[in-house]
Amino acid sequence: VLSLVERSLGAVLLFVSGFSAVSACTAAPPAEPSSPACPLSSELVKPGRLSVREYLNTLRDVLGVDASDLVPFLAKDAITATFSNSAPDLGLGPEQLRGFHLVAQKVAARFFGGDPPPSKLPCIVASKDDVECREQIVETLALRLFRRPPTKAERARLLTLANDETTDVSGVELALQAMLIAPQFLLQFERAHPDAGHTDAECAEVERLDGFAIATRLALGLTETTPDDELLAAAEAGELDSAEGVASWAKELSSRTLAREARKSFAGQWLGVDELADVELDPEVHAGFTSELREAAGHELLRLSQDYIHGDARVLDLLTADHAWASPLLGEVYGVEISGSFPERIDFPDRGDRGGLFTTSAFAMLTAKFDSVSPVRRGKYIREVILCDAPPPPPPGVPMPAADAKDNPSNVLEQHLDDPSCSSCHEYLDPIGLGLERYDGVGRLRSEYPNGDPVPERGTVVGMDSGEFEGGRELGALLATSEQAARCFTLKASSWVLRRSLEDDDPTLDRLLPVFEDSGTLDDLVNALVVSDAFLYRRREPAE
Amino acid sequence: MTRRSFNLFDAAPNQPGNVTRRRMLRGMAGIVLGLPALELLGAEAERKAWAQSGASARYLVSFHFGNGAPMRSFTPATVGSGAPSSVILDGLGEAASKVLCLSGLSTSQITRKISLDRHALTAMTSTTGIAPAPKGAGGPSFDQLAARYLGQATRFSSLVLAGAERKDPRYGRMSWAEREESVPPITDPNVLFSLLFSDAGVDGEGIELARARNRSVLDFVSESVAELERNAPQADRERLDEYMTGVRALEQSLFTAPTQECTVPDAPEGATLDDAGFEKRTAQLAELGALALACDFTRVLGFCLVPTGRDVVYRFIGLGLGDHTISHQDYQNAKGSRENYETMTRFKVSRFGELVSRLDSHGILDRCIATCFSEMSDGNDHQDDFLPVLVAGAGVPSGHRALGCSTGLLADGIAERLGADSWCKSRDPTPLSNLWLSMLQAVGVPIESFGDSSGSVDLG
Repeated sequence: VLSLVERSLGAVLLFVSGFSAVSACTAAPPAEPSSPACPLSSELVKPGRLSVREYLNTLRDVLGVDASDLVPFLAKDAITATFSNSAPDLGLGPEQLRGFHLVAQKVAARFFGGDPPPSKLPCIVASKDDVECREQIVETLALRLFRRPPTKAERARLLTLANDETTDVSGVELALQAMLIAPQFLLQFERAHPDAGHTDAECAEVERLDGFAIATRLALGLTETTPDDELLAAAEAGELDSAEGVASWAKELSSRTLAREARKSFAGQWLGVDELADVELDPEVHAGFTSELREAAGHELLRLSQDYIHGDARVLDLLTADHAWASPLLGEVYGVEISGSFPERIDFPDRGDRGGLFTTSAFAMLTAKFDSVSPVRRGKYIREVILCDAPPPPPPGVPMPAADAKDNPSNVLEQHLDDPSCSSCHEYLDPIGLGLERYDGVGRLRSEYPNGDPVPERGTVVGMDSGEFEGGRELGALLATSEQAARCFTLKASSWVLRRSLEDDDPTLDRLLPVFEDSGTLDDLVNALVVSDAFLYRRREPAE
Repeated sequence: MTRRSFNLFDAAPNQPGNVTRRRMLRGMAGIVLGLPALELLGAEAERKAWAQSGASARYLVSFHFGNGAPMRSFTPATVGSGAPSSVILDGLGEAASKVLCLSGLSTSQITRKISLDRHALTAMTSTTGIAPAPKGAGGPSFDQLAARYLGQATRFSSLVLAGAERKDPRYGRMSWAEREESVPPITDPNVLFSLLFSDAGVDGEGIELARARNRSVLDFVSESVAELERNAPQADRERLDEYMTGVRALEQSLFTAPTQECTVPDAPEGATLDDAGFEKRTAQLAELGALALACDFTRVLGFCLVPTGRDVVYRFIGLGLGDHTISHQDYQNAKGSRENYETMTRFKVSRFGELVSRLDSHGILDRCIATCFSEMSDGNDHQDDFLPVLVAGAGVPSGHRALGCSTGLLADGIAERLGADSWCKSRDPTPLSNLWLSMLQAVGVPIESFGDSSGSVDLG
């Protein structure tokens, strides 16, 4: 067992290197610096699977079919990562395939049974002998669904299906069903570029990806859908073989509406807005909590985040946002009158206790317990979402505090900090939450607890220089300028765009961090990421 | 060229005119799905083979509820035979006369050494009997192990259902096919219905044509796999293996011939997927799950009523607080909180009682081995050394037995009440895995140990 002195010493050492300040409570060793020449993590990456959103968007964009009502038939993905597009982690076993098969049948029937838009279907099969049109259909759909031209063998097999009129559906519908559950569609197999070496000869262990693989990474990572015809043509023409070409296509894709939608999807998962739907709070404790308020709060945080994840806006300014988007219900929480029935932009010119992520109603609800405000959870959210250094859960055999948290949580917190088995981790959590006690469980300002005790004013981000603050705006200002928050956001955004969970010691982060620290915008971070080795290369399989 | 390891696929009768289809008549409830004489003979032979296998049961049912139970109100006051009775177990209703309560089973011998959130830790350990891995359970759960052995002859190797879900599988899922590989549950009764009875209403010719289509589709994908595998890196080949496991299961569900007649029920209606729909939804899921066993669509049923740590609100039994919140009743320290915990757990146990009664009314209870358990004992301190466990089915008498001792048991005063001296001799808890081993052996799985089992539990 480490003594407290040893523990704090560990903490100090760990603060120096990257994150993991808080893993001091488990005393993890700092990461080894990696070879700077070829900054790719040493692991081979498992081929990804389309996420449910990517799958639905693809059906929408390639076939014009809305399959969102069929989502209940798809098995829910097991998500241990922050993002639902962590593609290597997405399973494709019996339950998933059963779901995809069921949906494939329904979607193929909708496409050919309805009125396929001419833009999606190149021709109408005129007769039994209309082989030419069948070929055209197969060629068009396979290119988009497989995200590359079909191989000779694939084309031949698909044509056999497309000409088969002996089942209960037409041949072309049969071919589409087959494509929709094919591994080429659901999984993402990447090929190396024929001229595959790294520009730096010392990087023999990595190989460059071919244009179609890059097109797929770009489209899925930036627009959450399959590449369109133009992008695939660019891949075919070799435009994605140079970093400049990739950069210019990334800019083009980022300017599309689809990219805005994808970033919204990112923000929803990054900030936990997607989890808000499951939050149930006791309205007797959290006055004013209703499902309507919960929905309004979710919309607001998503809307607010939009103001910081596009163009020249600095992402971390979200933590000190000078405005809110308040619906009439939220107006009551924020203490402002909203005249219309739609959310309005409310500016907080005097910047008192209002402004920024930690003063939003959504933040308050996401971190509340059913029947109490939890400073511990608020601290945990900030460690997980903003600083990427959440401490581990309580070790075995730790008794839960017996005191009542409802009236005044400070007695529970005192127990946490008095008992060394609790305090080694809770000192990183609870003191943050204390500085946010002025907001109740739905985000309304309060000056006292239900029992009349005054709420504490001051909080501390333990481990951070001058980590003291009062209220959500000051906390936001403190974190928005910290290197750790910048590194954490770089990790999250890179994981989203690369569609896999990066480890916090991934060498890519060291390359991207200076870019993000300098500019602070998501655009610049994305533009640097798509020309990084992590995006353009993969580790070569070791020779046997 | 193509891999041809799918025996079920190849075995599926292909010649036109060979009548092997079950006939599902158009959309009418109460219609009996007939079987041609030949198939009934096959089913009969299969049944005989099973009877000769020495297994006492043919179906395995694993029913779980999260967040533990107030053990003082769960554990019957005495040990012995006869319907177990306590404040909570009285919720079993008439099924109590078929249920055996087992006290003193534990997973703490594993979990006490591990630092992980107690909800996730105990949930993953409870069904697998081993320490968890980073992204999930450390190995297969007992129900999925049973599915490997029992799952070959039926359309689904197992059916896994849940009344509610959580995003993170380490909390939300009780069934694990492999290490870190959870089985996603079906939560929507309509999805389950269409899975079981999708071809109800299609005539024999229609079924034949659909089979031809599915065969072509699966031919295409397996040929694609063969092509993709050529010169593929190891990581790609592993992914393709996973995919092929799915393809084989899909084939099984599409082409396996039924072994017995089955009545198509009405489609479930009116249950929403939120907390308000919980009561109706879980009743419908249980009904369809029991029917799936009775129809021999599967031989393994996993049912997670509510996952650990979730705050489902049961307004329909007068509870305004969430499940997880109620389970921390001592922490709540409020008047009436223990009663809330009792009311809630009584409801959960009553869902198991209804399931047992359903299996009985389908005439298959004596061929089932069914369990009901939670991953924790008293939820407030997250302990797992005196778990609430019930068993019912083939040859299992009603009663209450005490299998081991534990500190939680002593602290709660339960041991004293039960006359602990007579049986509480050792401080070693009995591994929960012992029960899973006995259940697996009951359905004929040829294993001598499971997880951390130290022996078996006599269920006779």
